Amino acid sequence: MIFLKFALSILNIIISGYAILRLFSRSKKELPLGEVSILSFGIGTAFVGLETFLLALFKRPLSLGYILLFSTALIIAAALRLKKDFFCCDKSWWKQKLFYSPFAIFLLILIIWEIFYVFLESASIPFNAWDAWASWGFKAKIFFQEKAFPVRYCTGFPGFAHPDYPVLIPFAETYIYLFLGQIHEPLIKLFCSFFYAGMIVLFYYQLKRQFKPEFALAGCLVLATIPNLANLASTAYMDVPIAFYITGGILYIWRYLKEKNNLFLILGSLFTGLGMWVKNEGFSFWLALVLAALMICFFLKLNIEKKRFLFVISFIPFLIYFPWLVFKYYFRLGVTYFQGPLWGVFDLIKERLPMILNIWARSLLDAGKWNILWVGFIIALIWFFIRPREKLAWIFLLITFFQSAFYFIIYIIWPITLVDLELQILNSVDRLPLQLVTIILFFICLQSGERWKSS
Amino acid sequence: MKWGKREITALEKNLVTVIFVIWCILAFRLVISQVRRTLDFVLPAYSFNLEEKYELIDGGFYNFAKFCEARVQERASMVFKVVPQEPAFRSPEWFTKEYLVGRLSYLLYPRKILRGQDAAGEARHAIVFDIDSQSLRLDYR
Repeated sequence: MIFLKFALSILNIIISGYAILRLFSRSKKELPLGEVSILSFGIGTAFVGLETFLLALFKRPLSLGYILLFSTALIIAAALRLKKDFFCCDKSWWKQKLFYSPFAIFLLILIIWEIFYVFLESASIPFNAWDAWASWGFKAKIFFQEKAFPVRYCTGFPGFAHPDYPVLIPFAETYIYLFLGQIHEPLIKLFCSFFYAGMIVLFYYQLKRQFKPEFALAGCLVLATIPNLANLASTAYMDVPIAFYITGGILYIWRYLKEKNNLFLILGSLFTGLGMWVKNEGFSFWLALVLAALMICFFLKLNIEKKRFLFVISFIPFLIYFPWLVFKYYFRLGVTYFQGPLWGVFDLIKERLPMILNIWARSLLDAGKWNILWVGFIIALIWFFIRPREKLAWIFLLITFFQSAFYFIIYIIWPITLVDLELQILNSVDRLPLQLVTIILFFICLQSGERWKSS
Repeated sequence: MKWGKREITALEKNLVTVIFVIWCILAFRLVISQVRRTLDFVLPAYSFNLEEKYELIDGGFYNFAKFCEARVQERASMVFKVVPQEPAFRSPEWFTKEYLVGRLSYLLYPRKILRGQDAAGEARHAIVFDIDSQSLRLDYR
C-alpha cells in the first residue's frame, strides 16, 4: 500500500512536470518520450517542492489536499490550453530499430543493472549517510511534523544544520511524506535515486543526437559506473540531484548552441535556475555558465543572437532563484565565508592552496573512486589543444575551470582553522567534482568520438 | 612516417578503445562488489520491517532512542552530558559525541537535545554519555 502511494506521488510529479513542459514545448517532434519523462520528473519535482514551500511560507497548513489542488489546476489549465496537443510527443523512435549489435545490448544490460542496483540499494535501508539526514532529511522531517516552515524555530533548533542551504529537495521530500502520510526514509532514498537514472537518460539522449547508439551507450556506461556516483546515488546526498540539474542545464544550452532552437535555451536556463534551488553550488554553476558564455560569445564565432542568449541564461535562472535570495536576506540565513582584510587573502592562498591541491589530486587519481575518468580527461584535454574537434567545446572547459575556481576560493577564504579546513575538504572532495562529471564526460566524448559520429 | 587524417583517426580510435577496455575492467570490480552486496546485504534487508531496518543501521543505539522517546514528552528538552569529562576538541570521542547529539536530535524530534550547563535548568531529563564505557543512559533530574 505504501509503495502504491509512493508510485502515485511520483506519477503526480511527472504529470505536473509534463504539463509545465508542454506549455513550453508546443511542437510534437522536438523531444522523444524517454527524454520527456525525465524532463517532466525534473520540472515536476521542482514544482511540487516549490509549491509546498510557498504553501508553508504563506502559512497554509501543509496538506495533501492543497498540494493536489494546485497540481490538478495546473494539469487542467495545460490540457485546456493545449487541447489535443497535450498528449503528443515524438513517437518516431517507436518505429526505429534502436540497437543493432550484441555489443550495444551488452552495454545496455550493464547500464540497466547499475540503475537497478542503485534503486534496490536505496530502498533497502533508511538514511545511513550523515548529510542525507543531518542536512536534508532533518528539514523534511521538521516540515512534515510541524506541517509548516517554522523558520525562526528551525534556525534556533539544535541540530538544524546549514539553514542557508536551499530547501527545494527537503520540501519535495516533505511532499512525498505528505503523500505517504508517514516518515519513510527508504522511499525518500528511492526518490533521490531517480536523479541518477535521470542523469544517465539525459546524457544518452544528448550523445545520441551526435553519435552512433553504441558510442552513446558506452558513454552512458562510463557515467553510470563512476564508482563515486554509483555509491552516492543511493545515499540521498544532494550532490546527485544537483548534478542532474546541472546536466540538464549545460546539455540543453549546448543543444541550443548546436541547433539554435529556443526551446533548448529555455530548458537549459530553467534547469540551471532549478539547480540553484538544490544546493549553493548551483549558484556558482550559474555564475560559471554566465562567465563561460560571455567568453565564448566574445572569442568564438557563433551563429546565434548573442545578446539574447546572454540575457536569457543570466535572467531566467536569476529570476527563478530570486525568491530564495529575498527569503535568505529577510530571515538572515546567510553564512559568512570571508572575514578579515583583503590583503590577508595572499597569506591564505600560500597557506591553503598546496593542501587543497594535494588532497584533490590524490582523490581524483584514486581509481577506486573515479575509475580513470580524470586520466581520460587529461588525455582528452591535451588532444583538444593539439587537434580540437569542436571549438564550441571550450564552454565545457571554461565552466569546469570557473566552477572549480569557485570551490577553491571558498576553501581559501573560509574563516575556519587549517585543521577544520582539511576536514571540510576531505568531506567534500568526493562530492564536489561529482557535480561536474557529465560536463567532463561530454567533453571527452566530443573530443574522442569523431570515428563514431552519426551520419 | 607521415601522419595523415586517416592515421590520426585510427590512432584516436585505438586509444579510445584501450581506455574504454581499461575502464570496463575496473568497472567490472564495481559490478562484482555490487552483486556481492546485493546478495549479502541488500536482498536480506528487504525481509525486515522499518523498525528492524533502523536497528540494522543504528544497532542498540536505535533502541536507546526509542527508550527515550517513550519516556520523554514531545517538545520536552533533554540535556546531553558527557562523563567523566568533556572530550578534547576533534578527538575521536568528540566526533562520537557530535554524532550522538546530531543523531538523537534527528531521531527524537520534536524533543530538543540541549548541550552545556546553560541548558540544564529547563531540561527535566539528561542523556549521559560515559566515554570510558562507551555507553548511554537516560537520567531523570
